[in-house]
Parts: sequence; C-alpha cells; structure tokens
Amino acid sequence: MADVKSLEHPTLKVPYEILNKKFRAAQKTLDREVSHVQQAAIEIEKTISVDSVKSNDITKLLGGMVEKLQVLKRKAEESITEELQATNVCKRRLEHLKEHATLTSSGVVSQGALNQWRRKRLDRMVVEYFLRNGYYNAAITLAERSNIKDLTNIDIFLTSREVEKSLASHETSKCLSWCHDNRSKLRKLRSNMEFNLRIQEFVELIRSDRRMDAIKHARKHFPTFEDEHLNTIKKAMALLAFPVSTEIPSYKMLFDEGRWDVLIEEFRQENYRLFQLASHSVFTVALQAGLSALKTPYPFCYCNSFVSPILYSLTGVLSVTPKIARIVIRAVPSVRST
Amino acid sequence: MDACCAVEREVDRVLSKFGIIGEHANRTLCDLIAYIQGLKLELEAAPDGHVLSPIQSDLLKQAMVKVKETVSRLATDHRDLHSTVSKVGKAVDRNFTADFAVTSRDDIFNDHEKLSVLNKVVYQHFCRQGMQDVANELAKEASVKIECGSSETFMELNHILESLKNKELEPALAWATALHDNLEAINSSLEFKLHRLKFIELLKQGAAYQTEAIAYARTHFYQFVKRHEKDIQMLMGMLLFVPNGISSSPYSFMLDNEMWIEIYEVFTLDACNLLGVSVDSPLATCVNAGCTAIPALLNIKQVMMQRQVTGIWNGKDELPIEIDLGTDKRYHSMFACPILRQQSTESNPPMRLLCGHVISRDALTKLSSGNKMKCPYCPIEQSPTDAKLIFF
Repeated sequence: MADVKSLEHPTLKVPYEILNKKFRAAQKTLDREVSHVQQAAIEIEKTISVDSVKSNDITKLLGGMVEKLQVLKRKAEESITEELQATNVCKRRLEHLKEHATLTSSGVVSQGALNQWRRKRLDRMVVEYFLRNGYYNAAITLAERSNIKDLTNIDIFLTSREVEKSLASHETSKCLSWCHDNRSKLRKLRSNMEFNLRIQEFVELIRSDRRMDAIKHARKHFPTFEDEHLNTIKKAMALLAFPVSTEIPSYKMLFDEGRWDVLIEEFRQENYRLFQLASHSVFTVALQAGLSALKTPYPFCYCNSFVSPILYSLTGVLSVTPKIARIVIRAVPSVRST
Repeated sequence: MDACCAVEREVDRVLSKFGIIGEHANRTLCDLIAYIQGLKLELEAAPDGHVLSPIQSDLLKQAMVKVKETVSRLATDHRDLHSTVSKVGKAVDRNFTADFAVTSRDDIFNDHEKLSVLNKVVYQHFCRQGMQDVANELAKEASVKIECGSSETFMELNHILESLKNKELEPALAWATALHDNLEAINSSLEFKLHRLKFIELLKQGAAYQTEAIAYARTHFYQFVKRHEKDIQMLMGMLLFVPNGISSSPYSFMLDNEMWIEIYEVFTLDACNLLGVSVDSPLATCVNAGCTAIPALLNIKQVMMQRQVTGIWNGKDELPIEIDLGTDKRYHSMFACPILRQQSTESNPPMRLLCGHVISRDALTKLSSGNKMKCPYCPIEQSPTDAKLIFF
C-alpha cells in the first residue's frame, strides 16, 4: 500500500488537472452563452417598454431567443459530458490502483493479482519513461499491447510532441498558442516561456537582417514583460547595433542556434510543471532505489570472481558488458545492513 | 487503500454532482425553450399589425425575468461546483506524495552512456516479455544495438502465457504433458491444476457436458491421486450440484476468476524453475524492489528534514537505513562485522580467525597489539597474521 501512496501521485494528479482545465473551459462557455441569452432578454424588455409594440417584432425577437437558448442547451450538454469524461478517467485510474489489493474469495490479498498488478505498473512506468525521452512510437506500442492507454498520461505528451517538433524546426507559433491556452496557469507558475519565445523571435528577425521588423516586433511584445525582464530586454535590444557575426561573447550567445534546444527543454519542464509532473520519471527513481536496495557493497567489488547477483542480472542475462553495467551500479548508493 | 478510497469519495461526489447539474440544465432549458416557443406561437396567431395588449406585455416581461433568472442560476450552479472539483485535487495531494524524487540523485541516468545501458536493459526486458514489437520500436527510436538469440527461450513461454490470459488451456496442457516427468521431479502441481481447470470449464457448461466431464476426470485424474486426493474429492463433489447450478452451491469458489490468475502464476513459476531462469526479469526485479524501498526512504528523508540533519545523507555510499525486501530478494549472504557493526567492504573484508570466528579486517587491526591478539569471543590468543581473508 505504501508504495501506491508514494509513487502514484502523478497517475491521479494529471487527470485531475485535466478535469480542472475542462471545468474552467466549461464555465467560460456557459458564462458566454448565458450572457448572450440575457442580452436577448434585455432587448425584448426594452422593446416592450415602449407603448404600442407590434407583435411581429416581438415574435422575431422571441425566435432569436429560442435559438440562443438552444445553443446554450447544446453547449451545456457538451461541456458537462466532457467534464464527466474527465472525471471518469480519474475514476478508472483509482479502480486500477485499488486492484493491487484484490481480495480472494477467502478474504486474503491475492498474490497472483498483486503480481499482475505489478507487471502492469512496470509497463505504466516504462511508458512514461519512453515518453519523457521522446520514444513516442515505443510508448504507444507498449500502451496498446498492455492495454494501459487510459492509465498513462500519453495524451499530454503527444500534444507536447507537436510543440517540440515545431520548436525543433525553429517555429514559435505552436508553442505560443500553447502559452496562450494555458495563460493563467503559466502566470501562476511565473513562467518565462512566452518571454523567451518573443526574445527568440526578435533574435531570428535580426539574424535574417529584418531589423526594422525586429523593432516593430519589440515594440509590440516587449512592453508587457518590462517589469520583470528589463535587463534582458535591454541586452536584446543592443543586438540591433551588432552584426550577426559579432564576436562579443554575451551577444554571440544570443545568436547561438543551441538556444532552440534550450527552449525545447524549457518547454518540456514547463509542461511537466503545468500538470504537476515531477521532473524525473517514476521509473528512473524506482529503478535507482531498487538498484541501491539490492546492491550490497562487499561481494559486489569481487564481481569478477564472485558475481554479485545484481551485477549478474545486468551483465550475464542481459549481455550488457560488465564494464558499462558497473558504471551505472557504481553510481548508486548501496543498501545498509547491520 | 484508504488513500485511494478518500480520493474516490471526492471523485464520486464530482460525478454525481455533474450528473445532477447536467440533467437539471437539460430539463430546465427544455422547459424554458418550450415556454418561449409557446409565447411566440401565441403572438404569431394574432392578426397582422396587432399591437400588444398590456396583459400580453406584462406576460412577456414576466417571461423575460424568468429567462434571465434561470440561465444565470445555471451559470452560478455550475460555478459552485468548483469547490467540489478542487477537493479532488486536494485529496490527491493530501493522500499521495508529490515529491517522490527527493530520495534519488538526478545525475544517475542523465548522461548518454548510462541512458544507453538503461535502454538496452529495457529492450531485453521486452524481448523476454515477448513484446518484440515494443522492443523493436524502442531499438529504432533509441538506437539500441540489437543482439539476437536471447529471446527464443521465452518465445514459447510467452505464447503459452498469452493464451492462458485468454483462458485457453490447450497450449499449456500440451507443454505440461510433454514435460510430465520433469514437473513431477520438482514436485509441481501445475499439470494437475491445468486438468482441474479444464474439468471445471466443462462443468460450467452445464448438465449436457457432465458425461464428458466424468470421462475427462477418469482419463486424467488417476495419475494425481497420490498428491491431490482431497482436491479430486472436491472436484467430484461439484458434480452433485451441476443440475442446480454450481454458482449457488458450496463449491461456488471453484468458479472464481482467482483460479485463472493462480494458474498463470503457477505456470510462470514452474516453467522458469524448469528452465533455470528467474521468474521476473532483472528490470522488473529492480523496479519492484525500488517500489518497496521508496516509501521507507521517503519517511527517513522527512524525519531528517524535520531534525535538520539532511547533510548526513550524502547519497554516495550507503543508504541511511536497512531495507527489507523479503527473503526472495536476498540473493547471497552479507557480512556485517560483529565488532564494528559495519558491513564489510572492499577495503574492510571479513577475516577468519584461527578459532573460526569471523571479524572485519579493521576490527582485527584495532584488537591486535603488536603481533598478538585475543579473539573477542573465545579468548584464544593468536597472531593477527594467522587470520585469513574469506570469500563467500
């Protein structure tokens, strides 16, 4: 049980964040449609407040109102269905988590069910590890094979794949629209993503020698970030004075192509924060703890003559050369015993 | 379990409230639409150029007030659900640990070399698991170098396990029958359990199949009588209840799905035993061990943080606490010096004294004066040079 408590936070928190997002969106839609209906009502009230109103005019207005009410009804239905779906994802994951303690008919925890649950858990963890490392196809194949698509956060990673791809081809529009979608949340997290994107756009304009456009771009976008990033803005503006081939380190740095990779990494981390995912996958954390718990210092150092089982498991069976396996194992602490 | 239940309670609440509001919105809006449409029809029926009578305009005014009230109520009702929704998030935070990564060091798997080792391990795991397609995708995307040959042993096993998952017994039965003698040698009840399931499956199909079931029992069960007499008696007892349905009999537990889960486990265990391989892949073993270790590590970390002694845990050499992974994860004996209460290491290995007692080398140097020492257990005097380094 304790392991569920310690390790399954992201399994539940991510669908909750999605539910919360859906809820906000639904509220927004409802508010908008409601205000449309109310405006129609106010208009009708205004029309009938004058004397001698023709019934024709009113029927027309009433017709408009019926339409608006119907739109409201449809939108309300849609939004609430979406919210229900998001809630059901939470529910399904909870049910899966509860399966680890399936009781047999005689009332004891079934070891077989527990083992199966553990296998599924490993698959879930590996899917997440794949996604974090960008092995998307492997992740999808595994999720489908083991039938755990509902239980993993595959969707949010797939959205982020699109953004990462576009950033890798030096485009900002997708990432900007992502910033826009999650604006309030990002502001709460004090994210600099949008600012960094704007700076990069500015740099790119100068690189392609469209300096006038660069100034226009700066005028349009930089003032919003003035309070927080005045120094960075000043430095960026100074770029206008230098050629692209400048050798001054602090400006040369701004022209570095590697900044796009930094942006991708920053985007990944912001996306994790947005959904309250930890910066490391559960898989590597658990594996590291496991290696430590299994590693015993003494027979380990004599592994050439007396093979330590953990080293053996990584070397012999897995045909990883012992030298490399040792690098990984040396890096982790060992278990304590008294 | 409590943690899950606590969150589930909140989730259920959200589900029911959304259900209610959805239904309510649907109903009230339908009523409202019908009401306005009724008004509209009424006015349309009036002749051309008709001017609204005071009564009609009063009616309309009332209608508008009602519309405004109803729709704004709808929006507020929905907004009020926010607290219910956010309670789910709070319940998750309260019952689950968000920051599970504090126990680990982040530099372990982030360089390229180590990552490629890890990917290779994962690759082998999936080969062994029979998920060749996953392994291949991974190999392609993470550019793992493929070594073939190791996965064939597991091909047949995985095929059988797959069919057991789909509740097909034949491949497993064929395998078990072929290896009957070997299974007997390791005292395995796998074959009997497979036949038992087959028999139960026949009985499940009702009275029409009972002669077949009896015939099946006659041909197969006799060879297991020695070890499974009681079980066979029970199986035969089931026959009594076939006409009235076994599910309402004392034998209903025999129809449990648990039987299938059990056979899956028994097969994995015995087959791996016969082939001389470990049941879980090394990756699974490590990760499961980690999952057991992490709660304990998180606890100790928290205690250390409260006492403000986090510095003690540098995470370099040794975990701060002992972790009990259970007997099946203990692969070999370890030596902890009885004098220094320390685990032996490369620089401080166990030494066997002349009298047969074993202490660590550091303890030996501390206890000896010149070329003489006394064993701390039996006061036999001896020279420290007589002690021998031992390996195990």
